[in-house]
Amino acid sequence: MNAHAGHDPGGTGTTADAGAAGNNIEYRIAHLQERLAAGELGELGMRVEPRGSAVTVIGTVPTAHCREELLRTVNDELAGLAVHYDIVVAEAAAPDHPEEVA
Amino acid sequence: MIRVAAVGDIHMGLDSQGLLRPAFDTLPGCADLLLLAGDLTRHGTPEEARVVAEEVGGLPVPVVAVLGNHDHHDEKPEEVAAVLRAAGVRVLEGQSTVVEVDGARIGVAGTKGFGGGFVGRSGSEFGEPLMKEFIRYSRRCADGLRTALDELAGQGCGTRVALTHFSPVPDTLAGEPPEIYPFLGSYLLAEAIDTAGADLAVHGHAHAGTEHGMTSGGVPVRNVAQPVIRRAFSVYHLHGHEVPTTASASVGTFG
Repeated sequence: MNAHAGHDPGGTGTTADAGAAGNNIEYRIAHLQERLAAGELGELGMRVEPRGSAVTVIGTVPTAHCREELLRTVNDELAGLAVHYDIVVAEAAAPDHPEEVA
Repeated sequence: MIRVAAVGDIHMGLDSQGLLRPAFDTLPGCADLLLLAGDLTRHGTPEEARVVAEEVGGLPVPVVAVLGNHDHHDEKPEEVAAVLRAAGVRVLEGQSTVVEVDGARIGVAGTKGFGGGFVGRSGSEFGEPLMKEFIRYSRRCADGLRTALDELAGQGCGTRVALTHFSPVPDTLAGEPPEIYPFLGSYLLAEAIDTAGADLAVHGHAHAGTEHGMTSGGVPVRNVAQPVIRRAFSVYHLHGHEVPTTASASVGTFG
């Protein structure tokens, strides 16, 4: 609970908690991850973590279109927060050497 | 020497058409078969499955696949499998198939597998019905894999490969948050592999994991999730065992 958030006339903490929860960065990240999984991307593999006052989003997506959709969704869901991205589009090249498995 | 190409987690959607085909067209020069370790689609729709089917259809090397959790999301895994089979892909779930290469027989046993966790940190068949069913489902997948590997042992296969989506070992999950390991694999898969025997275990699912691992019984494990291997597929050279020619010549099942 954030004791400085919201107005709490009854002294129960309920109103303050509701206000705090709405802006809680961890819950916002959790809601973002739920949206990424349920939406067009079906994305469960992103690392989304709070770092200081910002959020980092790290991972690999299948296509450039998915990267654009990911950025749009994150910017919408985490509006107002600084977000640092490290998003890689999956490599589609054939390997240049095999591995000898002993 | 057997050349096994493998990739998982290609997560194809309608915007993926043609992305991997140029690399797959190089397979005849570097591999004898291609393994697909599940999560071939994003949501498991038949439309997405058709993109995968076009990507691998007509390849001159056999293609063997298991489905992943994404391929189940639309709750039409049978339709997804049917689309892939129509393109010539051998889709396995608790089943096996045999590929012949220059007289050598390579057996592949496959299951999607499921989670549950690893020794000392795993769920149990205890408590709520949902929790019990979670572990029982993992066990059924592992039992199917063991039975399929056992079948291959009786079919004259000098090389046997276990193909799963979920991981049999924690080694190849290194890089993932340890808290989610129980959702990424199960020791029951490794126990099945070590009990029945295999020359290689291939899985996907863990995008932030590590390529190399090993079961406690010494079977090499490779996480071939595309974000891990960072290419269209990996190729593993296996040096199988000589098998007496009197072994059964029956071909393993695949549905």
